[in-house]
Amino acid sequence: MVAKRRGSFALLMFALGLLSLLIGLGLPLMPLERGQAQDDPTPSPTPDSPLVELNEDVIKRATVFIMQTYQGANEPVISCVGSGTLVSADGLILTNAHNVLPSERCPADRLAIAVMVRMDEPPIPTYTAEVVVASQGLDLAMLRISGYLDGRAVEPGTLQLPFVELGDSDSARLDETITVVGYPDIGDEPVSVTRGTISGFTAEARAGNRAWIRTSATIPGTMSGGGAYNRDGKLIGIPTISPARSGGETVDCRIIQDSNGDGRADRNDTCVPVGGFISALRPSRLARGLVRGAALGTTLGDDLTNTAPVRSSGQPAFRNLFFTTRINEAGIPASVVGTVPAGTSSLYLFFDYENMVDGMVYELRVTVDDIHAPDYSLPPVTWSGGQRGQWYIGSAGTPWRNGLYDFRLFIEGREVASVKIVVGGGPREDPMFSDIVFGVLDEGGGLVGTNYVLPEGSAIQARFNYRNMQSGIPWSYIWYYEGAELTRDTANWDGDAQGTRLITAAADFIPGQYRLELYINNQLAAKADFVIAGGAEANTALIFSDFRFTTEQSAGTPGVIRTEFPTGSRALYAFFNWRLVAPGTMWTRRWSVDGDVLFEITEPWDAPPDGENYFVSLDSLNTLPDGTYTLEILMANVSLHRLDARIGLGQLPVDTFASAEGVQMTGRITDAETGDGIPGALFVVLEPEYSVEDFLWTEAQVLGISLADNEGRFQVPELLPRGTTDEPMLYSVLIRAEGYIPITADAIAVTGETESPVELNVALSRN
Amino acid sequence: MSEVIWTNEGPPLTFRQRWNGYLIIGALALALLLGLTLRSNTLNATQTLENLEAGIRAQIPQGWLVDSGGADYVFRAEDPDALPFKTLLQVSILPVGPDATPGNILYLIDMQRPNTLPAYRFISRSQITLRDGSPAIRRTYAYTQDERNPALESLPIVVEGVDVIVLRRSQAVIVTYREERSAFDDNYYRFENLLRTLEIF
Amino acid sequence: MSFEPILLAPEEQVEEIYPYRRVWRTSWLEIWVLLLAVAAIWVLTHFFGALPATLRDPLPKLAIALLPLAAWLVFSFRAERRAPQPRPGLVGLLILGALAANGVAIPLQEHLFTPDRWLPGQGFFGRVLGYGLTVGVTTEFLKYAILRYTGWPQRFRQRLDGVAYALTVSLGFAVVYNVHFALDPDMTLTATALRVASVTFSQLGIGVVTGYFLAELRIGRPPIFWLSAGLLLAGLLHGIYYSFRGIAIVSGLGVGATASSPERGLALAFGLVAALFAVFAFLIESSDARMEALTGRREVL
Repeated sequence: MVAKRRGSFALLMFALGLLSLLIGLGLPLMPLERGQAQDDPTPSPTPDSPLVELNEDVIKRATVFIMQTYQGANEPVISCVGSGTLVSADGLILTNAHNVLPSERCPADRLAIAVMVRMDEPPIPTYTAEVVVASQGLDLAMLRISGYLDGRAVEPGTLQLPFVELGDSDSARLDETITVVGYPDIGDEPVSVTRGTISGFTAEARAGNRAWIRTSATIPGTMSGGGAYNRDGKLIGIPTISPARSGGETVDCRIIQDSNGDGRADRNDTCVPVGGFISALRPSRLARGLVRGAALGTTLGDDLTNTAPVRSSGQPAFRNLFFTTRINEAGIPASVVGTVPAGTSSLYLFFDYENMVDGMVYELRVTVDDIHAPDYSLPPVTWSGGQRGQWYIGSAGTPWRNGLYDFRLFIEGREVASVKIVVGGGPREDPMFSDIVFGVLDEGGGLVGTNYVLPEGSAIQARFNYRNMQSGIPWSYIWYYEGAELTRDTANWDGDAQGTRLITAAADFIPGQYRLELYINNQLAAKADFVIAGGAEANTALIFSDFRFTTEQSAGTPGVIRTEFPTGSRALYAFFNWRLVAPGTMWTRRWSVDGDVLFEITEPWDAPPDGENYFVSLDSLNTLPDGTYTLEILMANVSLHRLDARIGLGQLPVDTFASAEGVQMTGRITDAETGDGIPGALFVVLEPEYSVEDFLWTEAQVLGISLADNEGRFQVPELLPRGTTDEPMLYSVLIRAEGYIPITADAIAVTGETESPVELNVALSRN
Repeated sequence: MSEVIWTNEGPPLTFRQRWNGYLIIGALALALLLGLTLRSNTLNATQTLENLEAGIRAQIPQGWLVDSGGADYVFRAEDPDALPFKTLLQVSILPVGPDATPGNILYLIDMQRPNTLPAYRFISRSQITLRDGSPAIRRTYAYTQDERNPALESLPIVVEGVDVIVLRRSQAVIVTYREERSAFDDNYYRFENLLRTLEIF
Repeated sequence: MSFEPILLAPEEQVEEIYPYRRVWRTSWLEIWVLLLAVAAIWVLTHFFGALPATLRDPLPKLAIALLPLAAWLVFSFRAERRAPQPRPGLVGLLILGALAANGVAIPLQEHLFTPDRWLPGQGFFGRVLGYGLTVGVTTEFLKYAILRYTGWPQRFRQRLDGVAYALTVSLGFAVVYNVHFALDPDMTLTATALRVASVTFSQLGIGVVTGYFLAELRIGRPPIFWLSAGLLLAGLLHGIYYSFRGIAIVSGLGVGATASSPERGLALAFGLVAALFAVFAFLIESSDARMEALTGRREVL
């Protein structure tokens, strides 16, 4: 009996033991593979929440804090701060020029870059950076991270930082939601995300109808240089505030350190300006060329004259203000208006300027019935128009409300001009002139030739439209040359009520810049500028000729002339001859590569009127990448010439601009028993075409590697390209650490819906 | 009930019992031999790396992550399991002028390294002779390794390194071993294996 | 007429008193106590949150590390003292086991065998052989040597003696390993508890194998490679347990929350000791029964 009881007890224990063994082994028995992924780590989007396209995580980490510093008495002193955005994995940063260029108010000999380490903490100063290219006029600049704060250089190609892509700012719509990212404070706050809508666009000369994107978002001043993103997470604008000025009005300036070394931090020390709010964004289209140039390592090279613009000694001024509601493609106002009917959706203020310098701060303040109207104003921003010429500021696309508008222009805080206009009432039936174009008469009596650039020596005709004219109304016209009146004539109208009319210039015009003003009843009715340059050739102006490309020059003499050059050329020169160009004539040269604009320079002609072998060039930090390079020459917004030269294959290498698209893989590697992180544990993601079985432990098969930090956290710097829902990209990963059983997993799916970052938490077991 | 008297002397051992006693020792020895051989084979397993263009052939430990595509080196192999620093073996080639001596090369390296290796410190330098009789310079140094990804927080690690520089025709061949300070001596044999099996042709 | 005495009272049933401590029973009690204690700690930490998951205080860890010893003293040792024929020298064996573990087994493992360095990357059978032929055979050989050169053969009068002594030596081993884990500052209380259970169960369970083989050599007439086979079997059992344990615990990847399952290691360990106890109890019982049938006794003189 006892034995039987013992026997059944033993049997029971044996059965129990076997069951425990099975539980312990985890059905099915004999798992000979090492750990496999048991969960599909691709979370599917919940049906009622919209797919999040804006990857806020990457955008926040791509936003950096920039500090201009100089060596003070005892320690580095921060003079000015701002935000910036990483636009490439190897450390190119897009920001405002005033954030990085040393100035009187912001002395600096070093730029310190602070990056976000943890989402909810202020950024940590980590790198130093150098200016690659800066446009003071556009107030945009490109930096490249060049070293660490301890003075060590960054090895090229070793940085794998999060970055964002530029979007198409031209497709931004009114009332579209934008997300603005930047740092609102000095070291107290983590990166800040503000949402707002696009409340309008401000037009300016040269940049067009979208020179500025206006927003209702509340953007603190230190976020200047950060980024504004559309719904796809692409950068479409750069919040820009005017640079702080010495002795100028500074709204908020913080004293944070003892910069003069006297042992006290007080008013005698440098303060860091943090004031103001931003309502204007520079569209990314204006930054695209700078970004592309910096990414390709291409810079503007020398040209023949290479002189810095001469700073005029006169007082900067704006004059001859007038309004128009329409501008043609060449930037010429259609007509001059004194009042505007209700419902007008575009209005531009034109003015002449002189003695300006790129980088000066100007401002337009508009009031409607004495109430400040920020949407029609332009906050203080930097001038980019050069020394003299004609400019406009306006807005198209948003209706102008009825009221009495007062436009006041300021330069460096000083009011320099103002004008008023009334918007309201029904459509006007006043007599009007509009759409002045210029040309030469052909045999048939028609007007031919490029309309605002005309050759020397021909009889210049001006043609304009008229409406609502009545017989007997006094009208006049005045021709100007280089700002001085040439001839004028007055008459009583003797034509129809509407039609077109021709005016012939009294004499042959010599090369230079001209203007025609038309008046009705002594009121300015229309105005247009044109340029005389070059000789006549079949009714068009032949100004520049004999274009030649070469890759070397010495003392102004071109080297070998070709249109196709081998890979590895350091510079590209374009030589050409010219005739009859009056000094001071504004001309534009535009370099593009593979159809995308790199640089555009508009400047007054500073060489003799005739000559040979003028050259302009593109230079590079290393070599010019393969591609098709295009040089376009324009005058008065008219494209005169467009030429191509090929280097190497004639096309940029396919992976020149890496995509910011993709999924970040991050997470934590811990000890299964203690829950502690395993510092130094290795996390490997393979290229999608390889599985764990195929892996031969060669770097060529590896997409990305990360070592776990003190807490076991890892982050694969390379983004994983996505697949589609039907054909997801499948990745294999391996996790290893000494003393732990390695874990491998195949077929981690990444599709278009996978949210970034993908967090993988791995528990390794010791034995 | 009955008292059992325990005596210290047991009954005499039978033949089977005695021989069991001898054979178990043999079994232990055999098992340990097999086990330790397995261990040695695993730890010392190597694979051959060959770069015909550079003229280098060497044996590196099996299972290490190999990178042959670098601009500065012929190949570099890292131990994927090592914690917290991945043991590194590397062979690089530097073209040198006809008048260069190994000392010149060391100078060049010493000038360039502090730019990229934090807290770089030269430790010692000595002349050695390789197995095939060619003279070489052996130099040890130390630096701290820090995490490049700003989003991760790792403590800097003190790394000790050895370079052996030998001149071959117009090239300087630099064989490098880097390991975290505390494991440097334990894994030094791997570097010796590499030097021993290195062929430059 | 018969002159048989008339019994006024029923015949006295003469009950045979088992003169020895019931080894399996007391050992099972120890196993269950440890299992329940460890399970309680685990449940309290992970399900009720009554204990912090990151508790790393050395005192609670030491307490759980010494729990098998306490259980042995309460159940096995006390029962042994009270048995009519107590087995001598148990405490000495315990101490010898602990000394051998601390002085030989652990240093060999840490400095010569170093399984952490080369075993995790091996395949399943590689780990079985690698661990079994180094750590496993060394551990069991040390236990064998202690038993062989202290009380063998005179103290081994029945097969259960072998089990009792081997379990005692194994417990000494287990206690030293447990204290090592308990003194590791990185181990949490739960992790220590699970390790303590795992080590104790595996040492006790596989120690039975060594004890059985030694006892059989004394009592039976096994061939000359008997002990060698036993040593290799015990060593390989260590290897097999080591390999399966790694697979049981490892959990793979998890998105969001961690998904490790060290409790499966506990189930595996309990399963191992239960299975081994049951198997060898059965083997011993049948051998003893056969011997009793032949010779009328379950022990040798």
